[in-house]
Amino acid sequence: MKNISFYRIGLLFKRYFCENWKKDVIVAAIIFAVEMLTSLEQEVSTISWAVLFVFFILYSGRIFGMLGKPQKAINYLMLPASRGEKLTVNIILSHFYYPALLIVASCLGIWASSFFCYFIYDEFTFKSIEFIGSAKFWGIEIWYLCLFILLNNAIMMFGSVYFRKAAVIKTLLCEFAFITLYSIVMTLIVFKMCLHEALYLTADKIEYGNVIFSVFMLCVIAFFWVLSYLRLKETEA
Amino acid sequence: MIEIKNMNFGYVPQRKIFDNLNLSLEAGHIYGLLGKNGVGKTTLLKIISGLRFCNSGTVSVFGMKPEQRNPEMLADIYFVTEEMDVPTVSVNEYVKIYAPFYPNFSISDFENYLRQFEIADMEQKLTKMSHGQKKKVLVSFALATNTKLLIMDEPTNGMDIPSKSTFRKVVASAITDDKAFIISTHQVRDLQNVIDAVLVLDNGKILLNADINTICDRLTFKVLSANEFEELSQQGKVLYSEDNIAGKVAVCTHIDDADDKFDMELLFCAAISAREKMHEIFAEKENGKSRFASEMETKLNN
Repeated sequence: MKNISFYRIGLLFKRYFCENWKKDVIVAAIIFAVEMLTSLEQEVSTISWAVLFVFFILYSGRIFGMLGKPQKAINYLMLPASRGEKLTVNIILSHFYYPALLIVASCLGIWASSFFCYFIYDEFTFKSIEFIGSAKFWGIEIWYLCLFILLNNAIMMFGSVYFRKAAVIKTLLCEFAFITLYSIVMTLIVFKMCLHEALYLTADKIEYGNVIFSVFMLCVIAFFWVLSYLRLKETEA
Repeated sequence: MIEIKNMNFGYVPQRKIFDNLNLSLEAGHIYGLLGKNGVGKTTLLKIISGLRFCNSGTVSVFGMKPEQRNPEMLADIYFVTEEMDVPTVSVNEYVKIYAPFYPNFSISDFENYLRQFEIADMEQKLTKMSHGQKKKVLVSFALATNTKLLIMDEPTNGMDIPSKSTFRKVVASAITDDKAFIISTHQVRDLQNVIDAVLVLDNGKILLNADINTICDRLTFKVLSANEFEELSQQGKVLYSEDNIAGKVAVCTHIDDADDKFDMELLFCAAISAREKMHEIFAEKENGKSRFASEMETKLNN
C-alpha cells in the first residue's frame, strides 16, 4: 500500500461530507442570510470579513476536534489511512474548502439581496461586490488577505491537534501572546535602527520586501503543517 | 501475529501498568482477555492497536510497529470499543462510508450478521438506536470487515440475553485460521463457550496465556463433597474453591478421569488467588514451547 493514496483521500473526503454536510449547509445558510440582510441598503457591498474570520477561526480550531473525545479519537486514529492523507484532507478542508464555501455563501447572499430588493422596492439593480476595500480582485491586498487566512488556519489547525480541550481559546491566547511579543521585539528593533540611521524606503525596497514577506509567510504556513503532522504522529487515544 | 517483548508502560512514570510484559498471540484463536478493574486490559488493547505507545520494549503486530499506524496495518485491525461514538448517519450510509476502507469487507456477511441480531431497518439512524442496537451494528460491521485482528472491549455490555447468544454464534462462525479475535470482558459467562484461549492480566504481567484444551489438561473444575475437598486440600491440589449448594466448586490441579466442566470465572479466581501455582503449572520453557507441548513431545519420542 502506498503512503499517500488518492483513493483513501477520496474516502476521507466522502466520510467528511457524508457526516458533516448538514452542518456546513447550516453555517453557509447563516452567512448567506447575514450578507443578504446587511447588503439590502447598499449598492456596492463588501464581504463581512470580520464575520467570516470568526467562522474560519472556529472551524480551523476544531478541525482535529475529534481527538479531544476519546471515542471519536479512537475511531479517527483507527481509520485505515496514513497521517499524511488525514492531514492533507484536513488542510484542504480547513484552508480551502471552508473559506471557499463561506465566501461563495457571502457572494450569493449579497447577490440574493438584489432579488430581494426587487420584491421590496420594485427595482432591480445587480449589486457589485468589493472583496476588500478599494483593491482589485487580483490585487496584492487580496493575496495578503489569503496568506493571512491560510496562516491563521494553519495555526488554528495545529492548535486543534495540539490542545485536546478548548483548543480555539488556547490557540488564540498563544497567538495573542506571540503577536504581542513579536510586536515588542520589532518595535524595539525599528526604534534602535531609527536612532542610528534614517530609513529610506524606495519602491524597489518595498517590492523586494513584499516578496520576502510572502515567501516568509508561506514558509510559516508550511511550518505549521509540518508541526501538525508531527503532533498527529504522536497523538494517543 | 502479535509479539510483545519486555514491554513497559505507565501513564505516569511512578506507576507502571505493565512491567516487562511478554505476550505472543497466534492466528486461529479467540482470546478472552481477563483481569481486574484498572489492571490495564483496555490499555493493552490500545497498545496493540497503536493507539497508545509503550515506554520501552517492543510490540509487533503482523511484523509492523503498531505505533506507526500504517494504513496497511490499520486495514487489518478493527477495534470495537466499550463506549461508542457513532455519526449521525443510517446503517446503510455507515457501510457506504466505512466499508471501502476495509478491502475484505463483505456486505453479505454484514447483512447476515444483522439478520441474526434482528436488526432489520438499515435506514435507521445510528444515533437514534439504543446502546445495545448500536453495539450489534458495530459488532456486525467489525466481523464483516474480515480483518485479521479483531479487538472487542466488553462487546456484550448492553446486549440483551438472546443477543448474547447470537453474539457467541456469529463470533464462532466468523473465526478462521488466519484471524485472531481478542475479547476483553468481565462477563465471562457470556463468552465462556466462544473463547478458546484465555489471557489473564495481573500486576502488570500476563499471568496466564493458554488455550482451553491446555487448561483442561492441567486443571480440573469440579464440585467436591466435604470429604473430597478435605482430601484434595491435604494433597495440595485445590487451587481455589467456592461454596455452593451441592458442596464446594473447586479448581484443582489435574485429576485423572474426573468429570469436570470448564468454568472461566473459577479459572480467573484461581489464577488471581494462586498466582505462584498457576505460573508453575503453565510455565513456559525457554525454547518457547509450553510444558504441555514438551511433555507430549517427550511421550511421543519415547
